[in-house]
Amino acid sequence: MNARYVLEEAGTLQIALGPYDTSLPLVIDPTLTIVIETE
Amino acid sequence: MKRVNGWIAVVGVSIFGGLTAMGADQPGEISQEWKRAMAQVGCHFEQNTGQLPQAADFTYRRSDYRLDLERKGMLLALPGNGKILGGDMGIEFVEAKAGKKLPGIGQLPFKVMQRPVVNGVRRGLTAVSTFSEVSADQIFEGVDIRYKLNKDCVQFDFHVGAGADPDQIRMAFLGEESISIGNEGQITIQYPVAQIIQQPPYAFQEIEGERRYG
Repeated sequence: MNARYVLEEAGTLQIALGPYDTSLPLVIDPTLTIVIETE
Repeated sequence: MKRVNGWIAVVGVSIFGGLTAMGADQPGEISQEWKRAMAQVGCHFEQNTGQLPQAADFTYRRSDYRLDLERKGMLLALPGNGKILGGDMGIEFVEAKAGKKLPGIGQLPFKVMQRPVVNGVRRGLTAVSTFSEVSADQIFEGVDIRYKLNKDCVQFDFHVGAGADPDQIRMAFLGEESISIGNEGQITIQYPVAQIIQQPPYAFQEIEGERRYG
C-alpha cells in the first residue's frame, strides 16, 4: 500500500494509506531530519 | 566542559565492559559487538534521571539540539545565547492515550555522565543509561510507536496492530511558523530557528515472512 501525509485544515497531520490487509499488523515509518538554521 | 544554562554538553562517556566481556577472542582484538557499541557512543537515547525536564523520558542529544521524547510527543530544545530556546517546538500526537513512562529497548554497554537535578538542586556527575530504541506502547488504541536512530536522524515507526484503525494517528505541531508538503511528499515544519523535515512515509506488512509495500 502506498502512504502519504494529509495536512488537515486545523494544521494537524494525518497519514492516508492505500488498501491493505487489515487482519495483519502494519508498520508506518516516517523519518525526521532536523535542520538548525544559523545566521 | 561546556555548560549552557542547565545543558551539559556531552561531558564524557564511561564505557562499562571490556573487550573480553564484549566477545573478543584475543587480547587486543576488537569484537564486532564492541565496534557496534562504539558506533553508538554519539548516537543513542539517554534516559532521564533528572537532567532533563520532568515530562521527558529520554532524549537524543546533538551539539546543536536536543530532542526530548515524552509519551505525548517530541520536543525540540536548542541552546543559544546562553539560554535554552524552545521547549515549545515539537510534534505532539493528538489525543495520545496516557500511560506509563516510555521504556528503553536495547540497553547499550556504556553510560553518559550527566548532572541530574533532584529537589531543585543540581547534583554531581551521575552515570545515565543509554538505549538504542525507545518504545511508546498503546499511544493510540492498538498502535505503538518505536523510536530508533537512523544515521543522524530520528526515525519513529507506528506499529498498527491487526484490526486497529490507523486513522487515529494524528500529529500536531507546536510553535511552528508554517507547515508545507513538498513535491516528493515530505513535510517541512518551519520554526523560527529550525526546521523539521518529515520524510514521506512508507508502510509495509509482513506476509509469509516477506515485507510487502503494497
